[in-house]
Amino acid sequence: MQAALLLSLIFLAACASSPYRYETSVADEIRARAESQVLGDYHVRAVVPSADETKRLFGAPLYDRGIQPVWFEIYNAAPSRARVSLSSVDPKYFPPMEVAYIFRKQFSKQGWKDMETHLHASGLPRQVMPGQTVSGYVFTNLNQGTKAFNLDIFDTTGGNDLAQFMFFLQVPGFVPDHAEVEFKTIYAANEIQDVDQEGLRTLLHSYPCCTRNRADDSNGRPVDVFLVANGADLLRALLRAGWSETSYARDESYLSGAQYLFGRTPDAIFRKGRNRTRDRLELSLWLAPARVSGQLLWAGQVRHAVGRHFEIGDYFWGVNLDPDASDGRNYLLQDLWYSQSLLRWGWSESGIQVSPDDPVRDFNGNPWFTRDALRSVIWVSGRPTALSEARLVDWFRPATLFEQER
Amino acid sequence: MNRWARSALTLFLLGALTVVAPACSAPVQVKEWLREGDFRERTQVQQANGVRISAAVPSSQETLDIFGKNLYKKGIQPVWISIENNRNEAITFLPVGLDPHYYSPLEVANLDIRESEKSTVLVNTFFMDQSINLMVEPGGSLSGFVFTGLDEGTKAFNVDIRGPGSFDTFVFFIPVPGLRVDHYDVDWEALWPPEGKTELSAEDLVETLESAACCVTDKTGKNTGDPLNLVLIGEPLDLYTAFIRAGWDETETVSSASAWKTAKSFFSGGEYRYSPVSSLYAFGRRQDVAFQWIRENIHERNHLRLWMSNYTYEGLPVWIGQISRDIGVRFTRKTITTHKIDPNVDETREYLLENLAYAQALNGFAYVGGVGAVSADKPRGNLTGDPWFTDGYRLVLWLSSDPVPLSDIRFIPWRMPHGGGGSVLAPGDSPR
Repeated sequence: MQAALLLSLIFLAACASSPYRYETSVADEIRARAESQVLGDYHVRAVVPSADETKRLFGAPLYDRGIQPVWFEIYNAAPSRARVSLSSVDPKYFPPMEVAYIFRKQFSKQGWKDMETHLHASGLPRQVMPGQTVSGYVFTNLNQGTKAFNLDIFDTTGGNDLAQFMFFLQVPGFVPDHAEVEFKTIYAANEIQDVDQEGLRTLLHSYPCCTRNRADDSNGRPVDVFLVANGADLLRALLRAGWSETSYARDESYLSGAQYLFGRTPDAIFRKGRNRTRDRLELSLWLAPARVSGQLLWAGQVRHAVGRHFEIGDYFWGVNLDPDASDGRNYLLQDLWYSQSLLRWGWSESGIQVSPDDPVRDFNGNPWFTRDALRSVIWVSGRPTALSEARLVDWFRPATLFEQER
Repeated sequence: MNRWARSALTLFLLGALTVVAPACSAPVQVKEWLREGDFRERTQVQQANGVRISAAVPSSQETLDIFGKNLYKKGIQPVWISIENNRNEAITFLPVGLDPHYYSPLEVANLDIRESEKSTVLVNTFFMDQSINLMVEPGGSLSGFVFTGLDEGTKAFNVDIRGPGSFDTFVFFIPVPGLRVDHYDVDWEALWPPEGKTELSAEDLVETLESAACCVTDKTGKNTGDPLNLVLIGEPLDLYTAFIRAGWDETETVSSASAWKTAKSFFSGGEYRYSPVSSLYAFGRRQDVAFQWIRENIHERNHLRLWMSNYTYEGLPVWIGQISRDIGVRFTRKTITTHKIDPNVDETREYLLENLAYAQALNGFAYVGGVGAVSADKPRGNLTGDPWFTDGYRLVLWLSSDPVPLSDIRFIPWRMPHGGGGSVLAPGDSPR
């Protein structure tokens, strides 16, 4: 025991006296896969190094502390100086000196100084002179999966419009669940129904109210969200709204507790924290056997975990789901609206009404009810759509409850 | 765990539940908060385009009285909203606009109660709970609570109303009693009476700012500290609304006696002795105003201190300020603990510009000299011994109470610093 303590002390002392080292060759490797975008006079390249690449680039495990660097190269072809907004990439980005401070204890005093110098020199400059190219890193908060971010560039003389770039970059080392699904082979061509907007309204009445358990003998929770979008647009919309991809091992325990629809587990699951760490939304999506005016249709369910509870029967800490199943549906609609991804939406009367006074239980024993028998149908916009542009589809609209569209 | 121990544990837990259960299942009593004299006497009203919005925020104690739960302690703050729709068409209220992370009513009801259906009495009192509660029919009205994240001092929020072809945003700033900062009582006129103020031309303003003291001092005025790297132009209300909208706090968020003292003495220049915000001096007095912006970790915050000068520009008061970013806490001999600041103070200065721009609180900006360049390899030290370096410029910010779109922000080319970021340390030819 004492020997172990002594050893760890020696180890710590050794750590604290380490010089700072980093590799320069990694920079070329990652730049080779940078994505290029051009808007007006501004040319931007961007890439996100993986956890391992980051460690080699900066000599410290940045990912372990929730820090993810993003590399940019910016060429300004305008005749006036440009100003790059670091906050546009991540409003809570870390300045280089702060990153160095976080890792200072791993190095000797000189090592810390060296790290400060290296990180400071690696930071993305904010000013780009006419005809000049700058490059560097912005130290952002870590996201799992595809990295979605913006970059805003201003012309300080006011001659050009604000240029707003949007990137969705793959990060090596993470395979999201949806990337492992062969979407093209889920349905045979003759299984897919082609419908228009009115056809969809009818079709939804034939879709199950709720998910099922694995044995297909008990109901789960309501399927009350439908999304009309191509896969790429939907992914971008969800990433833009701050949802994260997930990667579940499809093992026995996952399969036995999962929600089933169309006879299978979700094709994709996205997560989003809402307030605190224990408060989380989970969106399950299934590709539906239908196309709406040529676009894919996705059936979805939003579960809102609001806390944990102790189940006496199994001595088990489980998640406590918000029994108000409609809250998740309403939240997702607003969420996509505020992230400018809502083109139009409608209410289908094909859902299930379960009174709050008499809730039912899903196959995991969690109670739920609905506020109404409505399901939301959301046409997802690939491009940012202004809040005021979103339109309500002329379906269900009792005059006293819903707004009338002209 | 062996079988016997398991059974014992189960029995114990069942027993415990039996004792606790009656308390849990007792319906939460909603008190008679509709009577006069409640928090809604502090209601603020705004109306536009046929929509009338009333809003009020109950204090910690009032919240406890209404809901029977200490929601403030859980970091939850209810906001009471009443919406009157005098249009001929229905409108939609979007609570995500009020707080993107708003709590669902049942989530709040569920906080201390295992079986949430037992809290329906509580839940049913809220307008959020039943079916199509986001809609207000023509000529109709609805009212109720939205459960938001807790903000100390002043609650700043938007109420977004969407109608067919329209989108209206109502911006509210509601002081919350108990936590309220006494800023309305501060007599700015007395600090610099009108006859003591001097209106400056642009040329004179630049000259005055560039010849002003470089840095803050301690009380004696003998030792200098952080650079005075900010100049703000605007009425006190412009500053106040701009910083609140950009997410800055006027008081400490830590709930301790020292935080309360800070709140009390905030604008009145009272004692800061026990406060985590230390006093710095300029123009022979401690700061008139201080704001802080807190990030994930309580040790990581941005501090901003402001002094109102006796100058005006285009009729608006000119303020001088200092901003620094804490990146950690360390021990010192002088103050026991202090915040370690980012030595690249320009980084923090430029961050503020972006922060206010995205909060739509910025009319324009410019740069003037006056601090003097300090290189990274020969940094200066602040009053607690932290090093800092700078390109030597002061950032001038024109603040606005009304939202200003990004595209309307003016740049006034008084001085053109070669770099906004950390040019001094970085070698190489890239302009910074």
